[in-house]
Amino acid sequence: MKKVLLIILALSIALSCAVGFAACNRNKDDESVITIRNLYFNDWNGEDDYTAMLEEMFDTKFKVSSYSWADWSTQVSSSWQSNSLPNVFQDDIDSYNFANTYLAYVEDGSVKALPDDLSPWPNVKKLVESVADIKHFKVDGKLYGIPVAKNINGNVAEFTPFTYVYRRDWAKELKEQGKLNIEVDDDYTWTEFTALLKAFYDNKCQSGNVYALADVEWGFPSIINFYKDAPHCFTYNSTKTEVVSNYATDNYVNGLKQAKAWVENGYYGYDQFRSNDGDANKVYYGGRIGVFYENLSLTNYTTLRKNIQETSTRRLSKEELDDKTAIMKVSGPDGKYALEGQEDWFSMTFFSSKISDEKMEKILSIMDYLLSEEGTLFGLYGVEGHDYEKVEITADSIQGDDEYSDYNYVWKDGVGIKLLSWTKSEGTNQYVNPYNGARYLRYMCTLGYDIIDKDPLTDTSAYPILKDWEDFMLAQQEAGNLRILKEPAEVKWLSTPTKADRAGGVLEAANKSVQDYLYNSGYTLDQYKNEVSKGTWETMLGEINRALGLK
Amino acid sequence: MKKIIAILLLLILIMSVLAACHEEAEYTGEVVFAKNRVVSLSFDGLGVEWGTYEDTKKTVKGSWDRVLTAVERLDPALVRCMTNLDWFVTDFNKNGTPDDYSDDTWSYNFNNKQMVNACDVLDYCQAHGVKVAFGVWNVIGDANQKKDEFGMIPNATADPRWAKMCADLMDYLIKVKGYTCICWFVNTNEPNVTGNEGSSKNYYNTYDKWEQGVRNVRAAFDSIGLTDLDIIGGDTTGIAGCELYLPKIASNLADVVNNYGIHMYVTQMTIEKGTYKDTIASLYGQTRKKDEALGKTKQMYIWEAGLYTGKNDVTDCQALIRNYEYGYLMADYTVQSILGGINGLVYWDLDDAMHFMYGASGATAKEWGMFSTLAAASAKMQEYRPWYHSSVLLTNLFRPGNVLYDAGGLSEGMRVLSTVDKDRTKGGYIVLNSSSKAVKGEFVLEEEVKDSGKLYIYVYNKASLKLGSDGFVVPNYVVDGNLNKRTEITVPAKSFVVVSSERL
Repeated sequence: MKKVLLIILALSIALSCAVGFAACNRNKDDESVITIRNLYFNDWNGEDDYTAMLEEMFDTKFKVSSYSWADWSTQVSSSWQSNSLPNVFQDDIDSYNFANTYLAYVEDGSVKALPDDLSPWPNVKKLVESVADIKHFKVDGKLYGIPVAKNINGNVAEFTPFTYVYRRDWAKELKEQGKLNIEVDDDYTWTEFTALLKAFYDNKCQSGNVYALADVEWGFPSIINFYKDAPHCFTYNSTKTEVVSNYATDNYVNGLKQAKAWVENGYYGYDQFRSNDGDANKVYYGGRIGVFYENLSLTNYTTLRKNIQETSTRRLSKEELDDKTAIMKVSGPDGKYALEGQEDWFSMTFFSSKISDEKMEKILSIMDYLLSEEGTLFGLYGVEGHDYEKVEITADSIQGDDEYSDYNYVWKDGVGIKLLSWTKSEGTNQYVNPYNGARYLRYMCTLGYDIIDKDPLTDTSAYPILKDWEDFMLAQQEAGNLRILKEPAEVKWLSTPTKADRAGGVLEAANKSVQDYLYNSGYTLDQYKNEVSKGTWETMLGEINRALGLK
Repeated sequence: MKKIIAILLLLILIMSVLAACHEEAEYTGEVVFAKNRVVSLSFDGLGVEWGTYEDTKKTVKGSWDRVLTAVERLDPALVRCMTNLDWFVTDFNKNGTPDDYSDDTWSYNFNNKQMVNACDVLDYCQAHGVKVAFGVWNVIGDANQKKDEFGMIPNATADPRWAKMCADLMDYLIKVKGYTCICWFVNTNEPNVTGNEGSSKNYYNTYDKWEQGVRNVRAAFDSIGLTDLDIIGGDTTGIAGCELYLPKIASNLADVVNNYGIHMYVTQMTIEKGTYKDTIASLYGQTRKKDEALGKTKQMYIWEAGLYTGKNDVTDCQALIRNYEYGYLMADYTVQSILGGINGLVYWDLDDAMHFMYGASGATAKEWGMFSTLAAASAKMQEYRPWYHSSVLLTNLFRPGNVLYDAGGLSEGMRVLSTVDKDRTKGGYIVLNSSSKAVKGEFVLEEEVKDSGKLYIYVYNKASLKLGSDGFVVPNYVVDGNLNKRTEITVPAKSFVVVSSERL
């Protein structure tokens, strides 16, 4: 009997071990596969020949998936909480959730620190070191992610393209009819801007479902940009001796009063209070908004133009489309242009702490290759000799896009790129996406702003318009005519207990108070000021000022 | 003197033009479609996705006749037609709550415009002997559970109500309406694409739930006597998705599924390199290892065939459909698929006016078609596109039941496939040349074909495609000849040539 019991016991132990071992194997990361989830993978499935070439080059397999814009944070958070983070993932680390996401990842051991010495990956090292505020991301001297650089050469405009697109065709029409007495040249003073809104309101908006001015939901009320000192929660007081609530400054309140006046007089006729994300954009391309504030990134601007074209009852000429999507340059009551500031990076790429050192080194090597000149050419154009060839640019060389051209793009001084296998759609006359995995994988480290003008997939009709606008604003910046709204870095990246925990919620509540003041006649200015400066605000500001040695 | 120089210059110019026109073809020698090089004895033909028109108000008035004319000329052997339960199910929670699975007292509206539109497609298929895969895109309800009142999203197709709805729908179509042309049921589109929570109805439709759904639907079909109605195993998309689903289906559902269905959207480069054939062959081989009936009593079809290159993911439109290259590449895709083992193939899709994206911008047409009957489309967009004509050649040449052969000794970038009907009275072949130089060879079929004594030769590329006065493809040449006699064929670069014993 004892023998039988012993055998049963031995079998049980063996079975438990086997089950445990199997469970252990399930949790173990597969060294041969790199799992990556990224916001920019939404139209790529990893099943192309270029990806296969990279897999062969680095002796690995990629398993890729994407986040959706609408649920990005939720999706990252969900896989973090369920302990199922992919090997490489991307998260939005912005000014108000920096502390409670990045630090939380670090503190609970979910993410793996980058090697102290990045010199084996010189391109990655250069990228990381070129990020302006990188020191703020180091915890005990270690960096836990790679900021996704907008431009690996570092020369990113300090301002965002959050600005106004407008119906220049309406303005021209009203000008012709003698109902608008300003020059229709896209560059407007505050008085001219106001005159334009009035003309739109008086002549286009009387039906009640057409609006002179509207903002993307998160940007409302945009006109406060011309008054306020900082983009979000915090700014210094006028003597720079104390960090205060940006929402409670006199400048902000003056802007708020102006916004309320325009809600009441109907310029801001669109119901921003009830608008869901994306609705205002839809109304603009539906032809019912005269001036629209939006993030005019190349992608967004291209999409807006495409939507206008597609919802049009007939094919619009380029000139017509340009007139329906003209970009406005507005200077505020102080005579200066005002734009939100931006970082030279957007979001961060993290490595799961479950991956081995060897796997992390492999991923860094892949990133390094993709950032190198060879890797960039591969991601941008494909295989040399098959998809493109390099040609010497001489005095007689012709750049263009037809059979008589010697090259399509200037790669660098004296070197041109002649596309070989690339196909243009006969419908759109644009190059079609060959789905090159290297292009997508490169998004792990950079958004590639530095190569936009060399990219066959860049919308050639939209890009020059944005570039002109950016060049104009750069010139204004140079001349001291542009106010760039930025939160001071020492405040932005500072982590204090209440800021870490509540800053996001406080920002949301402040924006709600703004809306309440604008749309609720019973909500007084005193109530508003109280909401945006008392309670949690006081605790948070107290911690910040103490941490900065100000108060 | 000036005159002489001018004449000399003119001569040089003429010689240059002639030299440019006369591209030297690479001689590949004799290409024999030998009797022992059978590719398939169980080929079921080619077809097209001809989905339920979602809103015929968006089409040109009177365009249905044009659609029927186009389909008649295409003569598909297979059609995939998808629909939505949301269109038909009414009073879903009349007597219960969303989580009351026992409440099956909902009703159907089978008299609405979508059912009329579906029946229009099925009428044609029934009358013309076209085999149809009919399916439902997804479960009913709103992908965003906060807005959803039906409660089917979490359990997806494993929800028992799904099986009942599908059985009721198929009962109506097959037993009430008599559409015996429906041979397969599609248990949701691309179940492996789970998408994002809140925006995809498939988000919770794991393989296990999908498998349970198939079992439930099978039982529901059997219980109402629809025992011959097969369920497609998979309808999955992409290599990774198919590699995930097909082995499980072969292991767990071999007794339920007779048709392994996949969707394949591949890049131009994969097609041009010819590696696509190997990918399909590998998938086919892996599946057959687990289910030996594949290739005997069971088949593997591509139920959605298209190119990934040119796809705009935001608008779900294909930018290359107006290019001649698309027709050439899809022909190459077809040949490589069949060489890889595929028994039937359905192109995505027939008409731009069938399917729409419903986003913030409202409904925008998914432009993937062989033509467009959209009222909003320009005249150019409404034309039959080059790939319609190339598809007409293929669907008419490679008929169901034909025996298919390949050949060896090909030059690089060349792919061939020949076909002979069961009675050995007609047949033909296709020669594709993906290289950048013209190729020339002498082609002959070993299998005896008692054909008409004429050969109809069609050349497909931008410069050569010939259309008749009715706007449909016509042969470039008609010559006296026989498939069993050597015929010299020159195929220009990036082109294909079809040789047929019958006018296609």
